[in-house]
Amino acid sequence: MIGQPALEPATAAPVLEARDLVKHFTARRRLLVPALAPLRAVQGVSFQVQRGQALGIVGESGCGKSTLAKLVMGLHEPSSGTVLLDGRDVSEIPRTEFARRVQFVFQDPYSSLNPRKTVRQALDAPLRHLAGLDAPARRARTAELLDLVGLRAEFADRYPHEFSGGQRQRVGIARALASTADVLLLDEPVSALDVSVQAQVLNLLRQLQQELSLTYVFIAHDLAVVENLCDEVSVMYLGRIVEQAPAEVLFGSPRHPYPHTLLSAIPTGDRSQRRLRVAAPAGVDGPAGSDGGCAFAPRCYRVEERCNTHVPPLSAEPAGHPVACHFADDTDPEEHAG
Amino acid sequence: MSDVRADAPDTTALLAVRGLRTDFVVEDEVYRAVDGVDLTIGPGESVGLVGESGSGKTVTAMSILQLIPDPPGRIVGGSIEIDGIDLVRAPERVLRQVRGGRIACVFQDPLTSLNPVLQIGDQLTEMMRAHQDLDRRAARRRARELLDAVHIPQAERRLAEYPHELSGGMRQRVMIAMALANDPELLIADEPTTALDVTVQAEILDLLRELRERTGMSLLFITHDFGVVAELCDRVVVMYAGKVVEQAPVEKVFADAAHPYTRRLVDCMPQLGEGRKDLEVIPGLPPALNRIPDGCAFAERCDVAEEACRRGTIALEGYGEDRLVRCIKPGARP
Amino acid sequence: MSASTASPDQTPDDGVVVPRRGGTTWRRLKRNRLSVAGLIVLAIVVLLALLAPVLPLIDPAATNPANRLQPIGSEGHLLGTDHLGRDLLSRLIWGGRTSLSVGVFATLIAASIGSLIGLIAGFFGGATDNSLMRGIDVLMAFPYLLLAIALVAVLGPGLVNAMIAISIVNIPFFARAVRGTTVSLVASEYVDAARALAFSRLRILFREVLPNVMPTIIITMSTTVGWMITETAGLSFLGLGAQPPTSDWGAMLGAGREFITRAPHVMIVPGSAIFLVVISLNFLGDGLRDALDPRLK
Repeated sequence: MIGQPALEPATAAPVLEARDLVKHFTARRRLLVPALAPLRAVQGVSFQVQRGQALGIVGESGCGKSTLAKLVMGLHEPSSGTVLLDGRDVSEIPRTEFARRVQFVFQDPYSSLNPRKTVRQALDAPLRHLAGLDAPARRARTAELLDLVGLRAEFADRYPHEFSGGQRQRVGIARALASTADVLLLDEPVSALDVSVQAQVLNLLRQLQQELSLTYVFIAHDLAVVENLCDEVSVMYLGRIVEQAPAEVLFGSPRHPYPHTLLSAIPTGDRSQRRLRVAAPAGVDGPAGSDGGCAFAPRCYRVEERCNTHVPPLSAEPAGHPVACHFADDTDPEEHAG
Repeated sequence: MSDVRADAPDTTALLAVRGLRTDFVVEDEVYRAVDGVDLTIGPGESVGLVGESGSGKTVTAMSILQLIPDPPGRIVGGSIEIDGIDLVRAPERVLRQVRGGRIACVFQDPLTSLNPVLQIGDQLTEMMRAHQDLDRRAARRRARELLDAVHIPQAERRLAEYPHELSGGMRQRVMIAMALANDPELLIADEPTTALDVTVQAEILDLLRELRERTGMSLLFITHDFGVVAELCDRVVVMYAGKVVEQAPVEKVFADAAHPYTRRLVDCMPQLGEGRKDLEVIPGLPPALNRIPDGCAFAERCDVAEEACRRGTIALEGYGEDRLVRCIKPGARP
Repeated sequence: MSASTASPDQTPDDGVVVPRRGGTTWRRLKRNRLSVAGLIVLAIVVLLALLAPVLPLIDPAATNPANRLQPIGSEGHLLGTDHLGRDLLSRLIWGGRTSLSVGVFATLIAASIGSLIGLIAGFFGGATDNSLMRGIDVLMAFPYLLLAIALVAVLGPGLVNAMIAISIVNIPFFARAVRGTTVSLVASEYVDAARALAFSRLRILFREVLPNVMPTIIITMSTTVGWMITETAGLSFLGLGAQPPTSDWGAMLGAGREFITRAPHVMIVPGSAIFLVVISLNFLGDGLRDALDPRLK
């Protein structure tokens, strides 16, 4: 039902891969305003996603995760680095062919749908131009897609403002699937939703992934949400990935102090299980341009002299999975905290 | 202290809201955003007001502050008493003394609450001089102390900065400093950490807890996040479709919620450490506020509802020794 | 009840009462009394102008020097006569035909060209935006009635040329308003979504952006059409617009100014008509702006 491309990659080859992506934004020069240093939003990020897997990318605001998603999607031009789809450089793949494979689901279900288009109109364009369906087939497919995302077929002729936030997000997912895509980039798809609606959409995403063997790149700041959906997790801090591991490893025993800090900061909802809170000194947020050392050093609870002078490389040694920390060999960072 | 019963007048309460009803009238449709809310907050107590969007939690807070935009909103019933003054009927002059004085507030988005063209220091001193007899220099000194109190580094320099020069967490600290400026007895915080990153949220929660211990002020904390409530509050009030559906000490809500809505709301939040699994969901959506059904507004979505739930008016009644619940089958499981 | 999603019977729609679309703009417009009044006045004026050929009117060009400068309410001349004895009511209705159609056409021309410039500048940004908008700035740097007069001086006096001149000087209002809206729309996520779906730029511009810019264009039209009618009247008043024997309200006003002390009604009649139409248009424009503003939805 979802048209898969003929070319089937060799086993374990990643569907989607980013290699050393870099994006610098240069502020436009303005009169009487001193020139700003270029903002280094993404500073050499690489990842791979296997077919049918869900990769979570987590980090706080300003860490570059949304920019990364737009780079992968081709909505931003990378300053350097490449994105590969089934091993092919996407800059050599025609735009429509790419759009048939990779689609985007946005954070804000209110602004991501054109307010002057009905659901049918929103689905029609990708069904015609990307899926190549004739009018009767489009009608049938529209009903099928709505059913797939849990909306009634008669909703097809409604406008976005006639839906609740959760319903709109379902429409956004249906639109992404209408293009025949099997890789979805999801940028905070549930963060604008109420708790009970969030659970509905997360379940839908998990169910669709299993039924259609979709591949997800899931960008979020909420760790519990990421854990709920993802196999692999990359943690970003100020434009770099600081740790990359299977979800259970990352959430169970993170090696880098930053994910450890994040985890301990979550209000748990259960006082008897309150975690140790790691001090994260305030007043040093904002994208720093320091090349001199680890970007997390100013907030790190176990910073040492070398952290301020040497950038720790992202290395799979010795933790068994990629960690960018001088102390990655420690098995229990908690004992150093506080 | 957390055993404040809403149905019996309590002389020790700092703030007592009784039978509050707030309507919004849009295009001749009446939306009952707050429908008979009773709420008391004792001195030094910290109460969490929890609900999803449209539950009426923010409108309740705005009603307490008498900040409902009229039109379209209007308080149509009930009383809000602080120290014998009914804010619903008090003249604007009295309200101005109460707002920012005895009751202070912090909102979700500090950037829209701060004046973008005034320096932080000027906004703080202005706020104080409106309520206290302070000369400029004393106000300035006090402003510095306040920024120190909310742990803003380099307070002296920050006083001369504009809101846009501060990060989100810093702005929220400034808002809290402004709220503290006149030593309020009650701080109303409406989702003050929702827009913040989790590490910054943790810092703000720590700060609020510390300030509460130091100043002894009461706190009404409005949020959709039970985790945050658990960190900060003694008592939880859960709202649904404009009504209070449950009121309980915070630990009981997690262990054993009495109202089916509370139970299912707690259940549908993903918890760390649970891995990949289907979440419990609450089917459907809350009723539209202009068409609230008879009986229990949650009955449509409830897994233990029966015929009797859809009839008449269901009262908020005592359950156990220290809880209130608006349900005819409290504690029922499917 | 099971806790799974995505089965239609559990679709979270049952509690939601969402108004169906259609008629909401009209309904919201109706609540503004002033704009309804404006709409009624305009409807009457437009109807009269359209029906001018079939109404039992005296020939507007028929002179009768013996009967000149008759006051309002005189026998056979409801609004009196002008300095050549022509019937003012008939001239008012026929002149309204000219004034209104010039105003409407000028608005359409200015709206099409200005909106296109604004759309292109806002959508493509960068150098395109800069060069187009600097051109617009140059246009705006002149006092616009003076610019219109200069343009007519170059093109030669006449109603069509006056209309062209008025259109040109009003282009900047559309270009600026539309550019502003377009810039904010281009940054919206549904435009990103359209790009992710590999839509062509033209398709995005005309199918995604333009429909959402339409309210801005309509509002700008409703607020500028009144201006344009006044400006055309102004040119005609100065003798640069309608040339005899055709006459619009501005020319009538101009012709009456010699007799302002002896027979003020010769000026008051067309002047009131201009006033009434322009103020009605402004009320309607205000109402439309509120009714079309998506933030009030």
